Amino acid sequence: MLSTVSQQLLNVIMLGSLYSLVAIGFTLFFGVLDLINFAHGDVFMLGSFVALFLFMTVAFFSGVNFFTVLLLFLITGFIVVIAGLLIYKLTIKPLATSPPLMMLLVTVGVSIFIREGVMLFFPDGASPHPFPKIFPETTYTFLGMNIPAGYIFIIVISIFLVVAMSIFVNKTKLGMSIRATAQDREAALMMGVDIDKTIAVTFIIGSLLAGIGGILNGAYYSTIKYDMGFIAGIKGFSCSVVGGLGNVYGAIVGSFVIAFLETIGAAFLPFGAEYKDVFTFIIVIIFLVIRPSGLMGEKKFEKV
Amino acid sequence: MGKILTVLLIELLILIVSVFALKIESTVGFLLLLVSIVFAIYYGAKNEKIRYRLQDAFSSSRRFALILGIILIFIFPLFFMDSPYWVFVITIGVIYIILAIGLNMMLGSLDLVNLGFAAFFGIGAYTVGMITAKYGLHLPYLIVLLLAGIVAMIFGLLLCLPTMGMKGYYFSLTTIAFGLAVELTINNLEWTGGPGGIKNIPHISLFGLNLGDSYTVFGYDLPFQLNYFYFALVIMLLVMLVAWLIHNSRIGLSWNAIKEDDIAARAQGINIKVYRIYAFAIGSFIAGVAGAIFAPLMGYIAPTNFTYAHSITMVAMVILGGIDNIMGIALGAFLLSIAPEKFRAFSDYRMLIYALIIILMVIYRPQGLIPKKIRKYDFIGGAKDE
Repeated sequence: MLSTVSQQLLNVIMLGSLYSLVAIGFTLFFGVLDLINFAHGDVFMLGSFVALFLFMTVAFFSGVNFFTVLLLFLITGFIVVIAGLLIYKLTIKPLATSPPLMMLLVTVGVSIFIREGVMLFFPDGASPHPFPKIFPETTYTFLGMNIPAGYIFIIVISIFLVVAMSIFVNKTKLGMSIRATAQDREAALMMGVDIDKTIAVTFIIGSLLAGIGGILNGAYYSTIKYDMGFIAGIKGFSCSVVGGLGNVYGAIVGSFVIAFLETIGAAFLPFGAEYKDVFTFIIVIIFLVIRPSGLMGEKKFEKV
Repeated sequence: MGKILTVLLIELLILIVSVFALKIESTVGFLLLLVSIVFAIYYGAKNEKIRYRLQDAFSSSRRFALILGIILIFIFPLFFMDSPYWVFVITIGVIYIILAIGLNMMLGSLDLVNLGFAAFFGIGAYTVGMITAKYGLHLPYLIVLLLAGIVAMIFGLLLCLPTMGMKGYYFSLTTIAFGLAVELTINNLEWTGGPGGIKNIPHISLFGLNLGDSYTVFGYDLPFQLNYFYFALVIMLLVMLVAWLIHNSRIGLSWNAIKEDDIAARAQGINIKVYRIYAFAIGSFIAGVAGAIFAPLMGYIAPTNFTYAHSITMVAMVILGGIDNIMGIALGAFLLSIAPEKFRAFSDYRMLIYALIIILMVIYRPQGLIPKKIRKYDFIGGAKDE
């Protein structure tokens, strides 16, 4: 019994860290731009496919070692950041003055564009692809849990990314401009914050986290498919909403809450495994109804 | 008299060009035709004199233009008697026009981006499938049609009530979650046939006529798809009429007031909740009716017919045609449901093209192909579209 419980707990931690890498992007974009980027989940998917492509070409010549895996992460991160910047410059920036409906629709369009692009132009893109084993395959036993080494890498990398992001946002000048823009856009503009640059930096951070999250996701599930970004995006958005949109730490808390509920649902409800996603969506809808501002969000009042 | 002649000529020209566009075999020829149409429209819209003459002709003989248009639409499929498949494709186009008009009640009139609208379509289709194929009940078809609409409406209200206070992104997320939950549930339940769907849905029989039979008129054997086309067309015209009446009524005006500024609308004494319930009830009812035509036409339905991609397609239709303009939406829906058949060689790229259409239209022409008209008022009540 102890081992099942702790094994489920391990699943919660794994899912929670993967979800939070996506959810942080949603919450950052919402903070600086009042935008929900429906294409964010597909940036996540793009990350795993870019990594797979690099692995197929680069690692073919040199084999898997620490250096190639590090290079894999760096190049993937770079490409995903470029993709995020392109999304911002080409589709979202031209709509800066349009109604929010239009921004929402354009991100939906970009989302499908990326997904279909990968499906059509990646070799045999429509079928699931096995993801290479980039982490060592030894397994440790701890408190009755079987922990593969890959899991430890995934957790460590996630924590590293989240801490680095948190230091960046809280300690640097650019991070300060992100926080200022999120608090009050006009005031930040008057204080000389370069809003355009700030938003671009936010897209860099968000896309980087999501893209690396995509690699880790591939390593965790060991298969990737072109349409996985859709569910990942919905889950990431749900997590940031549950935590409270606009609050970075809320997004992390929300991710673990959703991961917990999902694991519990899959393990203990009848037909839980098949209806896992339905269960999560119902929880999110209930949550949106009861507490739309989220666990850690501020309650906002509408003013005319 | 000259004006009526202008209307007659223009509408005949549109008919001939569209028949030709669908008949033409080579992709290159079709593209050339498309380019020249776009060029002609662009030139016509730019030239003040031509534009003014056309507007004048159409606005001074509106009734004639409308009746002639309807007659020409009735004649339209007769050009495709040799290929029943095209009649089938056009019928699907008509069903999507009905769906897009239903979606517009939320997306266009109220700015509520419903990204799970295909769920209502599916619920309508499955209601018909369950009643007629699974349980084999022999109810009159019109009652089945109404039941499909009502069941979809009940689900619409189920979605409406919890989302009452939501706007923008929260609303869209909830509708995506709703659409997925419906799709996954239909896919997982054994009761609804699981991923295999429902097979052998009987054809519609209406006033003693079986729409699945091919009838012989004046010595011509008409394909059975034609019966469905005319049936769907009648429903479409009814839905358009209802949508037009609602748009010009107090309800449509209140919807647009809420869309512009919900707090100001509330201050004017508009009960937002009631009008949102109207939008959901009517919109989902229409989608259910569309599903009730779709299921017997196909004879076989599965969860893959009602996915997120279909919801996106419907949104793309409304955006392309023109938000909150019935003629525009009809044009957008028809174009997007015909286009994949024309571009068979690129049919894999269909969703990619839809996505590009959404992106480009939103950035460069957010008002759509035929923009919505500004309401005009005179002193003695009532709104009028000019």
